[in-house]
Amino acid sequence: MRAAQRGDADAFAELFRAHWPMAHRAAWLIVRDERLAEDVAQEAFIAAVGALDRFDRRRPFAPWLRTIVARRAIDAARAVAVRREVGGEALATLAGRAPAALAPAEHVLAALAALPLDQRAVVVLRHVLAMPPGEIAHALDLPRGTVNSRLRRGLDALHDALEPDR
Amino acid sequence: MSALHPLLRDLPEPDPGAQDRAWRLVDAAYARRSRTRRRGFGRRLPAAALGVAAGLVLALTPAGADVAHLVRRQVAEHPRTPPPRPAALARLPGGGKLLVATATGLYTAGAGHGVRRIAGRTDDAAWSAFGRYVVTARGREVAVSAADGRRVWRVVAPGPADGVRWSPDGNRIAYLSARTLRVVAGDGTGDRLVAGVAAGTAAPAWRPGHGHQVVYAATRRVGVLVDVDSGRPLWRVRLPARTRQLAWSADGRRLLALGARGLRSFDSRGRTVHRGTSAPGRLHVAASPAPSSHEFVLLDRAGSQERVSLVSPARRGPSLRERPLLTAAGIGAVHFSPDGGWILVDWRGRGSWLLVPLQSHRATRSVDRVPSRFGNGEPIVAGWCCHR
Repeated sequence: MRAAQRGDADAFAELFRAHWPMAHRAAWLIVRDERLAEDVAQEAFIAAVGALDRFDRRRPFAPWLRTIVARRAIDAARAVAVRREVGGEALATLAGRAPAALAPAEHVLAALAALPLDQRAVVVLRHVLAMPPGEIAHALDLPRGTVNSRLRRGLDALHDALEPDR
Repeated sequence: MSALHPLLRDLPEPDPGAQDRAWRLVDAAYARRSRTRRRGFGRRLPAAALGVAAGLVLALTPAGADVAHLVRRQVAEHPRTPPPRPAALARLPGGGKLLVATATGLYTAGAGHGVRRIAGRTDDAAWSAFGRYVVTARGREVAVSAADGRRVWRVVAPGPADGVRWSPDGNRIAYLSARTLRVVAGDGTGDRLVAGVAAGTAAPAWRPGHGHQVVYAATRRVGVLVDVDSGRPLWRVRLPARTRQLAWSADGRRLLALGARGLRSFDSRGRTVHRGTSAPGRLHVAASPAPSSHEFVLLDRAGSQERVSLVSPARRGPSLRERPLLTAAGIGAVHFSPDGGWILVDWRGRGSWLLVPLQSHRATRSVDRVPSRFGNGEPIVAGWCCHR
């Protein structure tokens, strides 16, 4: 991080390679649209570049980037949710398919896609971006209790969807 | 449920090619940052001073000296004309805010703030009627974002989209895709085909003050005004050859069709009011209608020299009067300000914008080093909105 701040392009490339997959995957799981997720993750990195000089180098990079991705993905998902979308709804389509027709990974995706946005976002931040509940509360500007309750409801719903017979 | 964590973390990447695409833009952003740091900004200046120096007030550089010479010589044709003053991008002369597209992203400037990047690269973009939203085309995607960049909705067109234009009442968006004119409601619903169009034609133009009427080039030489809600064609006109631009006057009573060599204007019933051809050796490049009259500013070219003129209809008869404003090499576009008092001259050959006043007591303003203000792309002004 220090090297990237000093202008070391190789160090910055390393940072990007290390954090892109998780940022992109998290954005995709939240917004449920590949192209929009790509835009969200890409713009999060560009925003991070723009703020690199202001970043406190004593702090780790990952939580900072996770917060940017989380906020942008949720804003994008909210904007999409209030408008009709045409195309690019692969995850939403998965949510409507019979479980028997799905591969294991698709099964998880379908269950996740069926969650309401507020629960889905918290589950993704916790279990994909590995953000602690306190960090999620800070990123989403929510009380920690609300984060915990959304997480609990989301996980319960996933449990019912993935293991219905237990 | 403890098994959920590895399951989610091991999900496949949605699109493996996205990383390479994103890296190109992110790397470019990092390279720009590094160049800025090498020039000494950022370390030596406090943030506030940097904001002023980099985003708001632009001092005259050697290019600015050229501007001063050009303006003294040509704009007012008066030896005592003062040199152009730097313009503040936060408060543009003429009011409103600019929408600027470059290869690196879509930016806004003005309305009390400096330059802001609001989206990635777009193929075309336009303001909504009141400047609260932006419509963009990129590949097959037509998308609307709030003015701060928050994505609101998108639709996927049948082919590459272009010519996105928002209706003056904000309730419809027209665009071209796959050789068709399509219309979608302002909230993203009801995307539908309206008519077929010729390949490579001018962007459609909404008629102000007349519901949802839009004119488009049905073929290379035929323009059609259609009510998109009923689908009913209202009239057809003969366009000049190689029509590059269709533009309505602000009152919706004059339609300007600009061809490479010809120029025609039509009245509200589609009758030809003015018909002209460019002088020998000159080609029309672009035009921008005034916001409160039937005047327009015209950019034409002869060889490597471009000329900017203010064109006014004669009080009587079908003739047009041209008042040359300036001539230079490398002018790419012209835009009327929302208040009608200024003309933005995009002097790409110098990387500068000139803001030329139409009232003689005002001084010309200049914005230098324009590409560096907008991510080092080649900035194209996609819209100047709005007069309040």
